[in-house]
Amino acid sequence: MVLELKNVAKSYKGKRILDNISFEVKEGEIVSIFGKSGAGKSTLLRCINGLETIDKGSIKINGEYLYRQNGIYVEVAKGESLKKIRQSIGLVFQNFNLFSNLTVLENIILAPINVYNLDRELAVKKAELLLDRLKILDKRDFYPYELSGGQRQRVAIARACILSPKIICFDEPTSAVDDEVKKSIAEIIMEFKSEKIAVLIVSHDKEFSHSISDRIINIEGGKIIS
Amino acid sequence: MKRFTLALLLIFSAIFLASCGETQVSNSESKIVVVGLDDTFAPMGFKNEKGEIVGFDVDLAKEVFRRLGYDVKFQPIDWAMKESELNSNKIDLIWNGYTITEERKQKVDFTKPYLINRQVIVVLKNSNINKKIDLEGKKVAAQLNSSSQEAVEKQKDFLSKLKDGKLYLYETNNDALMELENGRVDAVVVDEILARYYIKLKGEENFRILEENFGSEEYGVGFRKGDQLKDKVEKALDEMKKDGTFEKIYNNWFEK
Amino acid sequence: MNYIVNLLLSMKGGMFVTIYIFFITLVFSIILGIITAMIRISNIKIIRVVVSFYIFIMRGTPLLLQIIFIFFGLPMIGVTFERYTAVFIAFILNYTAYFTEIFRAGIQSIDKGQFEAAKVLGLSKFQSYRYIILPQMFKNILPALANEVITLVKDTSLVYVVGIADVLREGKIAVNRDATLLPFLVVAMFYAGFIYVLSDLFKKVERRFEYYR
Repeated sequence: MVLELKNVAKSYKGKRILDNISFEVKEGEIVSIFGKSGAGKSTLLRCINGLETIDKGSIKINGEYLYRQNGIYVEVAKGESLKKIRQSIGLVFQNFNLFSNLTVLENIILAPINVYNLDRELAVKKAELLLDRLKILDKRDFYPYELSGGQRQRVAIARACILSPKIICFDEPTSAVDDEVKKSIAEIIMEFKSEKIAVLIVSHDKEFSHSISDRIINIEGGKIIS
Repeated sequence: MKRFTLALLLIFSAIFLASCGETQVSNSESKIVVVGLDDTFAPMGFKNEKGEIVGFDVDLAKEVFRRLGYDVKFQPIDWAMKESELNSNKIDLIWNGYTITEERKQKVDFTKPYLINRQVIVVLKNSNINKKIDLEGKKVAAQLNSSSQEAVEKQKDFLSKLKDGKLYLYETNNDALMELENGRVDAVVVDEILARYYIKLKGEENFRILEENFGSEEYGVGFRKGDQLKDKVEKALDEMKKDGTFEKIYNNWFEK
Repeated sequence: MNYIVNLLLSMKGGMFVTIYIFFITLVFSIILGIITAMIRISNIKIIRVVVSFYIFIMRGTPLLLQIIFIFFGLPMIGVTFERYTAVFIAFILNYTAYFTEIFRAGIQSIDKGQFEAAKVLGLSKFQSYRYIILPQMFKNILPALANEVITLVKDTSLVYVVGIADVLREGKIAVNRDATLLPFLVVAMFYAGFIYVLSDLFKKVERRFEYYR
């Protein structure tokens, strides 16, 4: 299992946002979390990526606990363990959040060089390979503001998967893109699958989720309903 | 990152050196004595073009402490802060045309007066002001926080008759005298010594000093309360007056 | 003409003092300002309260009084500083407060997504600030920073209160000594020239930050 959630719960200001959520994602599996806006699916994705804490339950990524229920407390991963988790999971934000002061290449190689001590030359080579596959190698030295939405998304994808994660998360990947781009995202996701990389998609685009996913998890009011 | 650390190191050492450059101000046992003075106050104590502190009081102080066997250091201060400088031990004494007044005596021990100075009234040469009484309804200026201000404001009846019932106060005597020259005030009340120095520089044909004055004042050297150095300085000054050294220095700086 | 040359020579010490105080204050308060800004937006309430109080005091009272307090006031409780030390403490404390507020606003103006992206990629807090947040912040705050730096140039003249001979005081000395206003004109030209150089520098830096939006 690359992702395991067990009895995850979270409240905010007295309101229950996530309620006893458990599910698993296998290697190379494409899973969509589907629900209306406000159903809690975005919060769930943020918890899985360690951007928000949980009140109860456990989240395990590639065998390491990110959150672990221990009595009444939830332990949070730290240090080397957290680093390993970060390497195993990638996130493509809804609005990409590319670093606006860095070029495309710098965006991609920043973490490999500074966090994982990858040799710069090697990191550049890997990034260029990736950019080539995503057909944006010619944008290597551009700044984010010079790119179209679709191009930015590809850079965000490259940044998320440069360290060969086991699972990649997409937050609303088809919001505000045309059918052309939608099709190419689907192609990229299928390519991940062929490389045994799992994909977790949060979306309210029913057509897209259904066409691409192996499995769909429906969420309503913070609970899994099917 | 390395260059940054180096730059920081340089800056720290620069500050260190700068603070070392200043001598620690001492108690009166040490052989260094620190004289506080307003180095903008010509001709008593001021910086010349070469950046040396010179003046009548400076020459006097040098001679006194040479005789007493002290090294003397002149520390420029802000005149408004002079008593604070003294009482926080930043300086050992104030010697800079320092007028003896009752208020100041509460805070400072003065030597016997070593110089008499009148508070004179300066007007433009062609002015129709000849007596104190002519100043009624006129604009009269003085330096802020000066003895001149104190002397005039003591005479409340006179003060109320001036234009606006008050003195026009300026940061420095020079500012006041310049305003007189520009015609924005009609008269300036100022230390005689300063007035004569200024008039000499600006040309004697432009100004006039009235016969009447606001009383004479006495200059003394100010010490912290109970400082025994005061008596030694007093004695040295007496000796200098007897053996003619005082007069020699006086003649170097003022017209006979 | 000869007089002006002599005047400039006699005032070069004062010019050095002004530049020296300006430079030391600037370097230290910018570094400290960044650190306190990061502390001020931290989640620990007690630290936030302490920093806010410090900033309130520093901005709520005149710098001149702060110098007087540190140099003349503290000896009453047994803490004595040299003239330059007292001036540097007062200036750096004061300007750190102003810079802190500028930097805080600058950091908070940056999209939360930039922090989150850095976090998800595994960057430490220090690395996020070093590579992402601070470069973006500096671009945003340059105009405000330039204003404050120019104010600092003119504030250096406050050192007169402890008798340090900066360029303005040297000018004042020359005015009293030579009974002419000309030295003040020279002083004014010095300040204007200094500020012109700084403004130009800021313009260049701003242009260097124009490579992205």
